[in-house]
Amino acid sequence: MRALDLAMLVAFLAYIVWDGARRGRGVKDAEGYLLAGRKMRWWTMGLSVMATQASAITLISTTGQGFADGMRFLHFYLAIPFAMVILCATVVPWFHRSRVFTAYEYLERRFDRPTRLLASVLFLVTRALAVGTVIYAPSVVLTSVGIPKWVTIVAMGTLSTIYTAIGGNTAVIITDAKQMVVMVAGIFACLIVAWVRLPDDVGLVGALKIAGATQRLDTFRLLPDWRAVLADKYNLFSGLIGGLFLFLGYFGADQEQVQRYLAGASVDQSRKSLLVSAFAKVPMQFVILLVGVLIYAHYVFAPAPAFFRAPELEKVLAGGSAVAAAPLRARLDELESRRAAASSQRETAARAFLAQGAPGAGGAAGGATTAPTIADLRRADAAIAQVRQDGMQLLRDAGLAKPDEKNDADFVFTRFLTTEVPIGVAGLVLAAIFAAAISSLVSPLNSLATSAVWDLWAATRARPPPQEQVVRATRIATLFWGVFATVAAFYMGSIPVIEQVNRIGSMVYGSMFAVFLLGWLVPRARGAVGWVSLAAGVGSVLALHYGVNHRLVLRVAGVEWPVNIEFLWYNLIGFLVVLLVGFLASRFRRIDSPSA
Amino acid sequence: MSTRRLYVLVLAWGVVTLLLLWLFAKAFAV
Repeated sequence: MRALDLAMLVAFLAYIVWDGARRGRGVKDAEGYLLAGRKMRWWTMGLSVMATQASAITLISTTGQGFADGMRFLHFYLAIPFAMVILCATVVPWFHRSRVFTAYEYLERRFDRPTRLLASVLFLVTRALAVGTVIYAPSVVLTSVGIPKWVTIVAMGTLSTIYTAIGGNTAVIITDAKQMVVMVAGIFACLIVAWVRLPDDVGLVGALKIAGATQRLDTFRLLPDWRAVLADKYNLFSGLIGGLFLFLGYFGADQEQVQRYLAGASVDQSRKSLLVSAFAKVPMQFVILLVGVLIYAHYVFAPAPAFFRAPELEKVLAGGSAVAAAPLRARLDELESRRAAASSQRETAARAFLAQGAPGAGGAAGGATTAPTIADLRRADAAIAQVRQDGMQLLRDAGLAKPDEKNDADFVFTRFLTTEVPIGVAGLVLAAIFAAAISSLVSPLNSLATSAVWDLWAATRARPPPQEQVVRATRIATLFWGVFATVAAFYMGSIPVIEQVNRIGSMVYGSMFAVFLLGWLVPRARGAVGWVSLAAGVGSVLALHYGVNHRLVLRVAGVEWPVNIEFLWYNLIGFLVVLLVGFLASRFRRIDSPSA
Repeated sequence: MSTRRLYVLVLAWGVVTLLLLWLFAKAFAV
């Protein structure tokens, strides 16, 4: 880390904490502390909603995904515009009209208290599982820019907790909005640097052609067969259908997001805040993935280590005993020579490919001559991917990576940051990474505390507690969740959670949103129907995940189908089960009657 | 702008995004 970059980061963090903490001055009532006095404008909330969703994983891992796998991850976000319109027409006005503090409070009014408690507990459990990851993931990656893991964890955990506890939701929303601006600046800075760093004779179009030839620009993925559609992680159908229900649940029933737009001065302000994401999310993810793709093209022509975490191993080999290090050194040398050979083949093939022109653009004549070149390019590319995989195996064997750590691509971005991004700009990008992490940590801290206090404590007391007591309790709960997240981040490495965050969410999101919709679609569904159908939805997704998926072989239309359903589809399944069970249960008077 | 017009605009944006991504993928597909 260079001094100027570090100074920029420290100054940025100090400003955010100061700006957040001063928002808490004089706030004594629950509405002021939990919902920012319901005075927020749409653009501030809109930026906060985006900042809450975009974590440091989004910046670091998504560029890594663009690098290694290309742009197919974009399918994940395609449903956002459609989801936002549905939410603006449904839950946003419902929440506003009923003047609730949490989404789950609305469920008590529509169904009963157990439904509210179940929904709140589901939120608390799923969010608590994810909140440590938000700190842990960047802390691992930032070791490669020279910041020790514990420093990142303690800095992020402590600073976020302090200003969220003092400033409440106003602090969260306003600092989120500012951090989102820093994030966008950081992303565009990366894009420009990645573009400028491409060789002059390759350029942006050349880089995109190479990325296209190695199947990294697959932004419109239609698969021919329903089994493939279900089993493939990111394609047009899983994104538009599974993703739709994931985002309906995430933005419509997850307090982490609901609490941001509930702070709106009017229904219209809240609606417009969600539409910011509807317009900007897909382009933003496109640019982040494009940065990854351009970094890939950069390393086609620039030297790179055998794998991106190799420097960690080299450092240990340099300091350890020669006898113990010898077998590891031999394996690393072998990887390096394989990588060098494949890199040179890939560069030659890429240059030949560019010299001939892309067959798609050049017509049939070009296609005939470039076919072997493309095959060479892909073969060399696959060989390098294999070297990186073997490198991770080596790292695990050396005890430097946990058994579940398989992704070397997460370290591409920081490698590029430390070696290619100029001083000063690197400080901005580093601040953007911290901004992304902190802004997606403070929202769950604020909302975990709010739901724990408002839904579980205040709601179950005989008499509603005084406002000051609610604010004090929420501040204490924020401190608790802050400490929880920080401690969890230290222990996170042993559990394979990084990739699991969206999976955990997908187990409940579809079901959660469906309960809200059930109240609207089925007027007879009242009382216990709410929690019965919610439990059925989440239960069936859990049963599918742990009992059926990848375990059973079914016969469908005379053909054997080993059940293989990717996680985005869980949202649709949970959603359908809740509506079906809710509809059927509402026909039974015995379940229907107690609170009806 | 009326809420309904805003919704139409957002939905249209969703469809335009899909179209642009299809063109992008097609332009560089090999």
